[in-house]
Amino acid sequence: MLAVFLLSTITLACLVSLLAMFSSNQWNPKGKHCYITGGSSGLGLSLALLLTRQGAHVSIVARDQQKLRNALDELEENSRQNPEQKLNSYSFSLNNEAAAAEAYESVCAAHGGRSPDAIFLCAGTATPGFFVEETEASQRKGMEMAYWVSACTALVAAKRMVRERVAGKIVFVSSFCGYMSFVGYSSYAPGKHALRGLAETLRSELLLYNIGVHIFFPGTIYSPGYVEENKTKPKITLKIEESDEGLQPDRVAEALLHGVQNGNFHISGELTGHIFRSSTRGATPYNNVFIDRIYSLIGSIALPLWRRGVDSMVIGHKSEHDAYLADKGFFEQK
Amino acid sequence: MLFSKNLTWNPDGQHIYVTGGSTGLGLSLAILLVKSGAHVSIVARNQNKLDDALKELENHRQHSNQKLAAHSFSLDTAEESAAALEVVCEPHNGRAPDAVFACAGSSKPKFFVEMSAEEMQNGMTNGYWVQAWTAMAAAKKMVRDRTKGKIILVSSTLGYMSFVGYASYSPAKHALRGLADTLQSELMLYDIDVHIFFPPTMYTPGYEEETKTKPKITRDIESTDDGVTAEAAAVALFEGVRAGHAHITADMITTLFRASTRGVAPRHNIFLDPLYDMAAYIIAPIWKRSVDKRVREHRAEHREYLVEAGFFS
Repeated sequence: MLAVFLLSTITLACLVSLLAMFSSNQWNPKGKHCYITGGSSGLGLSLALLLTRQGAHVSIVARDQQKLRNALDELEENSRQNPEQKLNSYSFSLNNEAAAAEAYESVCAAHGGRSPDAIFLCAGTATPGFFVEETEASQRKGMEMAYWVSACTALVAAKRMVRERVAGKIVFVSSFCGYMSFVGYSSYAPGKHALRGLAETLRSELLLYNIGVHIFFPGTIYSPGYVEENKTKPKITLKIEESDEGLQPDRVAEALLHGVQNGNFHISGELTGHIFRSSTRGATPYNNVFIDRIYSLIGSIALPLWRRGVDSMVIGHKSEHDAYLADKGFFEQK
Repeated sequence: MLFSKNLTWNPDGQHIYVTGGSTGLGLSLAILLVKSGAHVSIVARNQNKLDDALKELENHRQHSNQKLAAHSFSLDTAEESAAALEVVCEPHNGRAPDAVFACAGSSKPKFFVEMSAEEMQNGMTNGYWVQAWTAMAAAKKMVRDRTKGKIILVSSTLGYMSFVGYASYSPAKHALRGLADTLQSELMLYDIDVHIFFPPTMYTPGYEEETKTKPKITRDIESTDDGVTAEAAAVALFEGVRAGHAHITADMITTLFRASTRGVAPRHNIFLDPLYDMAAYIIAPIWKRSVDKRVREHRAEHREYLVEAGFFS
């Protein structure tokens, strides 16, 4: 059984490597117009700097005017390669279709009304908390900041790209919380999983128009967003995440760009990400049929062990949590 | 699950709340539960369908003291879902149900570029929120009552993967998985079990509705799939809950997806799951390649279709 398995894996690996030799060129950002949402801080800003250094025209959209000004200054001072590059920033909210369409319109205006060549949907935040303390408002807000803020722009962009016959790219940014979840993420994981559902649908559907789709699953990023997130994060969640090593936004942005250039549909940034990706692959294409299998095997041993550890931490937290809820008057309310 | 405490859950004498319980999967499941001796409350929107459903449930009554009830509520908002739960609990001393099966939901497949933002929103409401609000109300009530209950969500094979036509539906079904996996971990704080069902195509009134807008290319891709009856799906769901499975499937194809997309979700069987995973490793890419090929071949026809629909004007 093992011999058959190894033989078939090796054969497959050889076939795929042969195919890869004849595959298309790497995507090159030079001279291309890249639109980055959430581009004034964190992953979005790092990506903007990286793409600018590679010679792209870059448009960034976010809400805060001051942050956008600072970001644009950084792009100009530290990254501009040549005077032809168009570097622009716009202040817009992106949480509904009208707002997303307005932002998109402005972004296209500086390029003769033409759609960007690639859209990187980096905007989004997380507000972890306990499910039983959530309200309709906090749940809807969670979905907005994890999903709608990207889905709305994707809807606008797809329609425009199709009408203009632009064979562009749409790049979604999910999270480890789009591959799995645990205590504290009931307002975030659903939205990050939803992005996966949308990306899987669109990867298939947008083949009709030669529009490429990618989706990135980063782990913890040491960004301003991360600092915000930890303000509401339950102690038990922090405890579970204790041993996680996060990454600086620059490193994460490199992994994202690398994945897009390699033509990977699901993009993961480091070993843990690769293991999750390979263990939750379903019908998603391989990035590397041989190595992915190894990640998957590692995952099949490591993940249940990790899971068992998380479960015991949660179970061990029961009485402390009960006291916490009692203190907040939870049991008196209706 | 090797270490599950409820190896054989028995609904006899328990109060079970089923949303979407007047038709399709929900009704078939309610019937099974009534036959097992449970008190069953069903909620849906249409009063006529509820009346018919209640009559059917009565036909399967086992004891005279079984409480069977049907109520008409929308479940689109948190407020309505909480109100529905309160009404459902009234005949039971206002106590939380022992189990809540969130079977409500519908799908409207369509091309992405033809969808309005509203249709995307409706997809999320009818595929996700309609269950999430019930889960939220139920969790809060079970915790307050200290009921060690069960919450069961109903996703779809499209919660494990997707393809052309499902841009408003698959995100919602994936979101349910995100919620279920979060709650599976989190509700251990309260000894509340969480399960999630991933049925394939079910031949129900809901399925008939869906085919009205479904693009031809989507229908072509699905033409080789074997669907199941609502009754068969209900049996699979029921048995999965009784066996204590976190993720439940009703057909082999979805089982292969479950095993290969399991990630951190609990395993069913330490020997079978890896075999399924290996099978999926070979089969899934072949399936995917054939679906992609069909989509690419559909390009010209699709372009014509959009032109006729006035998309480019």
